[in-house]
Amino acid sequence: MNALRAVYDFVTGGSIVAPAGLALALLCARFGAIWLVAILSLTLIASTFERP
Amino acid sequence: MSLALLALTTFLASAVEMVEAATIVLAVGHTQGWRAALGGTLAASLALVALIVLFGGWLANAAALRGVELVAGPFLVLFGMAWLRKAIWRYAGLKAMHDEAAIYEREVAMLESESERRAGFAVAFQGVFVEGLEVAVIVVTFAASRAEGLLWAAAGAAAAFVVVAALAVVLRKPFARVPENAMKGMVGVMLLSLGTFWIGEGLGLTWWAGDVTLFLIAGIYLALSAGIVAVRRVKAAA
Repeated sequence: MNALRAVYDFVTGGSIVAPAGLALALLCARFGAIWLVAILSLTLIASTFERP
Repeated sequence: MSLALLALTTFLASAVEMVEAATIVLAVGHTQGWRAALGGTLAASLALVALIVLFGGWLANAAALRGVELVAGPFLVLFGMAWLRKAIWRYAGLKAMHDEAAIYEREVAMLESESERRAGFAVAFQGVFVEGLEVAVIVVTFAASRAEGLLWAAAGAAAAFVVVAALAVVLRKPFARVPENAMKGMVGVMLLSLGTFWIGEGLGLTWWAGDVTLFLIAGIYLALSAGIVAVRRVKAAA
């Protein structure tokens, strides 16, 4: 379990928002490239509100 | 897409991580001897090169396959976001700036209390391997762009390694004046932009201005980051 957590933290930097936002961006990208950029931008903003 | 951009990104990423690794190696060298410090550094470097050759070679062969960008792109987005938000937190004053001098002092104090001589080798190995692993993964991921991507990305990382190692040998003290946070932020923007662009390519999306869109995306993320820092600073001061 600790190894799994370490891999998760290594890939995501410990963020919960980033992978969730990425998944949403991948889903919405079918509506156009602007959606991909917009949702990833919002994800970046939201991820900075996680605890440092 | 410019291969030089891949090399520049891995150069900056490698430089940031190697500056941090150099602090640990220097602390080991000064307290437990240079044999342990350089031995650990060499062993970790060889392990990282082996990882890059093994996985990078495999991914470079798969670069021609359709949709491989959809594997590499999300990795770059997650890595880029992690690097960028850390830089944003530091600029906004929400997280302490990386202080190489303080880290060096802490490592020296820890190593001086350690009587086991092999600890120096292990600490140097771990320091270089852990700091270099993220760069190795980025280099491997860049192999997905095309076969030459691996060579250019590896060359960028290797160049930074050589520069930082040479400076460490000459100066023999931690690099306190390197603008680590600015470099971290730049790497974050580049990784996030490349990842976004590759996901779009993998999904078959039409980018507004062709390959130039990559730089537009980078501009958007850069402006957004500056905005977040400004707002968070004002909020923190209020």
